[in-house]
Amino acid sequence: MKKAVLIGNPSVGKSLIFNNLTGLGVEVSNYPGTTVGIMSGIVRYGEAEFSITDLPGIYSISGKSDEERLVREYLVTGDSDLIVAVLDAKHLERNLYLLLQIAELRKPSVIVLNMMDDAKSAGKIIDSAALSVKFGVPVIETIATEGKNLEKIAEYVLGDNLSIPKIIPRYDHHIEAAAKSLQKYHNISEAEALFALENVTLSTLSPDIMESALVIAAEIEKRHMMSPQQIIGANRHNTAKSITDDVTSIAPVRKRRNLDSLLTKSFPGIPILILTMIGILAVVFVVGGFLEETIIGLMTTYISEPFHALGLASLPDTVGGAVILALMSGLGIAFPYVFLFYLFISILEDTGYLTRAAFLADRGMHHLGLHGQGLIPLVLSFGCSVPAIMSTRLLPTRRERIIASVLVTMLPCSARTVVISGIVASFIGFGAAFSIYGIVFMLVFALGVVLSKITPGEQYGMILEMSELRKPIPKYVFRKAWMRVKEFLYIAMPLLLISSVILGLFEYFGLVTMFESFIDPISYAVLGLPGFAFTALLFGILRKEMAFETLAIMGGTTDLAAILSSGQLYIFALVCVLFVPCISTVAVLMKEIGVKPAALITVFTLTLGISLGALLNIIFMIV
Amino acid sequence: MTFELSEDILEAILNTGKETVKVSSLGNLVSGDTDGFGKAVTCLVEKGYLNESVAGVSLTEKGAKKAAQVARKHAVLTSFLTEVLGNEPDNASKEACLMEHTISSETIEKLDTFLEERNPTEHEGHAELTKRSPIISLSECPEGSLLHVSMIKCFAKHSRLIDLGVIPGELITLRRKLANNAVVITVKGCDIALSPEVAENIMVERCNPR
Ligand SMILES: Nc1nc2c(ncn2[C@@H]2O[C@H](COP(=O)(O)OP(=O)(O)OP(=O)(O)O)[C@@H](O)[C@H]2O)c(=O)[nH]1
Ligand SMILES: [Mg+2]
Repeated sequence: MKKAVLIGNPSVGKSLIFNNLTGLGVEVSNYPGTTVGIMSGIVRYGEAEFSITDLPGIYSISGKSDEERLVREYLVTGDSDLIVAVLDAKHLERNLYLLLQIAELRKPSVIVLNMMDDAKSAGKIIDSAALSVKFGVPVIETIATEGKNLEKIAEYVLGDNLSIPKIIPRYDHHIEAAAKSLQKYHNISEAEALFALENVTLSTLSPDIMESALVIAAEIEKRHMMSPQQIIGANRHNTAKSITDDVTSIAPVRKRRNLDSLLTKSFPGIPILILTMIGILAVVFVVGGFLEETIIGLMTTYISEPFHALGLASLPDTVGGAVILALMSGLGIAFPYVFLFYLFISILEDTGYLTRAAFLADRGMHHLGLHGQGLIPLVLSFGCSVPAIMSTRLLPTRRERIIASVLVTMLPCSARTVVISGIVASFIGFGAAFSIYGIVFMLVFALGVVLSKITPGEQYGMILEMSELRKPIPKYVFRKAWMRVKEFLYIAMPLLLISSVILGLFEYFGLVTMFESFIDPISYAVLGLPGFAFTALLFGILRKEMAFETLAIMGGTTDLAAILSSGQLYIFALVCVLFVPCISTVAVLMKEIGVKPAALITVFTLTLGISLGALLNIIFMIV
Repeated sequence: MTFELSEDILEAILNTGKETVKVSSLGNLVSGDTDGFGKAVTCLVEKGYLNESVAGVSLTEKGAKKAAQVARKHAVLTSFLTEVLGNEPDNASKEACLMEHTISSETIEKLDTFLEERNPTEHEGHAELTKRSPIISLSECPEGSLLHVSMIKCFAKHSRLIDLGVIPGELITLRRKLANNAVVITVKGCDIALSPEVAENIMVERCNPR
């Protein structure tokens, strides 16, 4: 089977093309660094098939970041048959820089000029035939959001004659001479010789090649007062510029309103940022609360009450009741909040607003030992900690990745929002719900300040490309929110059903009472909570929202105010939000930052959650 | 239309220092061949270098960049011809006018570095004549200025800047600057946000019309 690989700058639409061709659902979002890993899929076109791989977006294949290294190794040592170079037509010149580097690898390639709609509305007319002649490979013009011309990519991959780029960028003559001699002496390709001169490591370049390249590079640097890396970069940019000038012409366009004059200024940018965040939470509370009440009301009248009215024997009644209660708390309570939240996060991601927010937040993030980009994982963490921790890979240093991962773990994800809104907002009030956020934010801030002082490692500033502002397309927003909620329905719901039935049976056979009589005194003494609430908290380690659902199941009702006081509910929610990340989060933490830091975070949050809960218990008792 | 004429027109508009210039008054500003002058202006408007309105023509962002590039070439060439070769300033300027259209940006950068090394102080003294501005850090420039990148300090730390096109010789626009000196610049049509500590490492010259 043929293998194709998608390469290009960040946010040019590679993942959207991948999704459209394969029918799979990888993340597509409007900020640079959405894709952080390698993902492959099979494309079926007519009778034939081929495999295609989506890679993280990069600006250069000779860069030093993890993604750039990953893509470089994949390209040079991988066994792909065709490189599909995806370009943003509107920003052709900047995108050509990477294309020139790819062309020098002399591997079969095809150029995909995506975002033709954007280029057109910016008044850029690109002569793709001329571009194709210059590079010696075909050019396909596409609009990935409309699926336009994507089948031509498949057609070309499956075709018989794949062409190899023939363009030769002109380099400074010292560079060219140096590359020639390295090539001849060590029997390597021109691209490899240039990598060596740029002091870029590659598995195919032996240490002695690197060493001799280093000597030549030093010679060139002395003569030019510029490192070969800078000279080669400048030469490539010049080539890119002259090609762009040759193939583009400008059509006059109507000037459009530029929202950036509002969004990137301190005023009104920062108030807008804060209002957006609070607004999203408030809407989730209000609309989620309304949906919850409606769904629970309907389920009680039409499912729960008729079932118990059947007057079954007590064992089937217990088991059936447990199933119904699990359905009610899962679909009725958790689902509306989770879905709404993901909907808003998806909208936020697709507008391109996140990069503006990151720019404005740069200053504040410095206090936390992070830079502007660090805001992106923090915002994503309101959805789910797992992808948020993975997205910390877009941060430039390990130091920042560790700090951001810790803070992400602390911030309330949508599951914890379910707990906060379902328990605190519904039974105590909005003010109390926001106060939990307030406490968590203060803790996160304090922790960030401390971490920025104690975490070792170097610091680089933010260099972040602002994504294009776009109107989110409803179809894609819903699809993305649905994709994320599906995970909830397929993994969390079965888990909830099974544990609910098991708990029901335990209760029936008196096991729960035994455990509770053992845990009850401790739980009361420390947190002021009854034993069943503490057991529910433990379920929160599996998945956060399960703490809440299990509380309802163990209390035997979704009306929590009937079984616990406001103070108890508040303590329950706060402890649940803070203590121990859920197991999936712990797993991803171990993978991304190592076992030891992950264990440290777990122990730390456990201590923090329990001691804050205990403190609050004492305060409530005194008051 | 000739390529030289259109570059001369852009340069002339920039040199007036005014936002909008009447087309009729432009004719006097551009020396030499004025055949097909109107055609050249129309062509520049079509290509997106000029905006045309009732009040006259004004430079678009792209036009201003191009004009600044040509003006700079002119200034460096004139310096070279007078200071190094000892030509008469008048003749030097005329000859610079001819060469500025064909010389590459790379050569100009090298020539400029050469002039600077040869005689830094005198060259500074020449600053007014060659319209060269002092080299300052990006953080010191006001919002909206059109800038010419001269050097990146500790570039090894910020090698991504090279990949994004922030290289010596490139013209960039300072779009936004916050109170803490975090900036947004436009390079090759893309907006890039930079932390203050990155911005202060980018050394630039201002080339806005005064
Ligand atoms: N208008 C328009 N938008 C597009 C087009 N193609 C992609 N987009 C949008 O561009 C954004 C980025 O798309 P992605 O597919 O995530 O980009 P990517 O290249 O995978 O980005 P990274 O994973 O960050 O490297 C999304 O918001 C898409 O909806 C297009 O042809 N036209
Ligand atoms: Mg992607």
